[in-house]
Amino acid sequence: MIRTSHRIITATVIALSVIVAGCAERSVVEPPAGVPATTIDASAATVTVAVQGFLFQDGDLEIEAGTTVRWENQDRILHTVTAGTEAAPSGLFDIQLDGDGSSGEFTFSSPGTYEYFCARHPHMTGTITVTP
Amino acid sequence: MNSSRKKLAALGLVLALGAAACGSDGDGGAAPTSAPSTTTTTTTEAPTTTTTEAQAMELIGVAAAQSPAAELRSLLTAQLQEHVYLAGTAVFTAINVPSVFEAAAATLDQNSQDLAASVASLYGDDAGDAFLELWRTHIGFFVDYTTARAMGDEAGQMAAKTALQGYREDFGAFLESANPALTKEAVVAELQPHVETVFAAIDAVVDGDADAFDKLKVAANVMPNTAATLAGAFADQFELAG
Repeated sequence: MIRTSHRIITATVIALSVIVAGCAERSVVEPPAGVPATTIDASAATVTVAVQGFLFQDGDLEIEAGTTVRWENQDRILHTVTAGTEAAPSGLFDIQLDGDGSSGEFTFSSPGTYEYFCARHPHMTGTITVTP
Repeated sequence: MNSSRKKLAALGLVLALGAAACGSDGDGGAAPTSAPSTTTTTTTEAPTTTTTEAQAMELIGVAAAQSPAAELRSLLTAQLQEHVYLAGTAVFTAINVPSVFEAAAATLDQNSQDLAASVASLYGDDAGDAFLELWRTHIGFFVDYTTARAMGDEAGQMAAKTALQGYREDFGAFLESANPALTKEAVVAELQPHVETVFAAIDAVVDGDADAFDKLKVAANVMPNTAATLAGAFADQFELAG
């Protein structure tokens, strides 16, 4: 039989600790939409990314500064669109997509490369490359 | 290294330390004290197969099992039962034979990859990758539970159970996304016996109960039903014959 010891507790705390952090700057949650995979509305400068099958479908994008990216959840589960990486959330945005049909968006004003992921399912990742 | 593999490694460390803390009195805890001796008789002569026998095998349905739908069901049954036995082996070795735990964990992960390959064969590589991450996550929660049980941490056990409840919702949503016939609610219900029986088996292994392997067998015997549910839905979706 295994006995509790300080060494066990210490090892467990060290081995199993996970810290997830993030904060939102600008996000909009809207009613159900039901759209297909990534679409681009040039006139409105909005790009839509479908969140489906626990993936950001075509989630790696190259857009111009000022473009809004809209994520639409087609899974019946909470996903997030969180700026940065699991190891280092940037805090730029943290959008909650609460189930099928929910959506959120963020406008990328400055050129650069922006990684994002789902805080609940960190294997879900994407990258937005913003050009001038 | 992904999260669940880190947890498996941590479990090995934690339980190895726990074993060390128990001293070196040679009492393996859960190890059976009077394991029955096994005598194996091996027949070296290969049986002669005649055309008549082959025809008989076909008549009793062996050929029927070669249909794509039946093959899929058979494959998933084997992989899911293997999952349970390998998980049980990993837990047992972590507690009783830490020196081979890493190998047991690696074999368990290979089974996870095999299951993911089955999913990928139907829904594509991205879906297979997503499945693998989800599947490894649930193994990680069972590792959390095992660790908490071994340490007598009741709050930790409850936290792991709560996490697995949430996982079933996630896994249900994932399968529903791939196959609308597998509703999230149906998958959550389908996985309930799996979770309950595996918890019972882990408890028995960690506590050194004599019926630990009986409980592991019960847990494994749940999986053919799960495999049939999944394979049936997959076969319908892809119109597989059989």
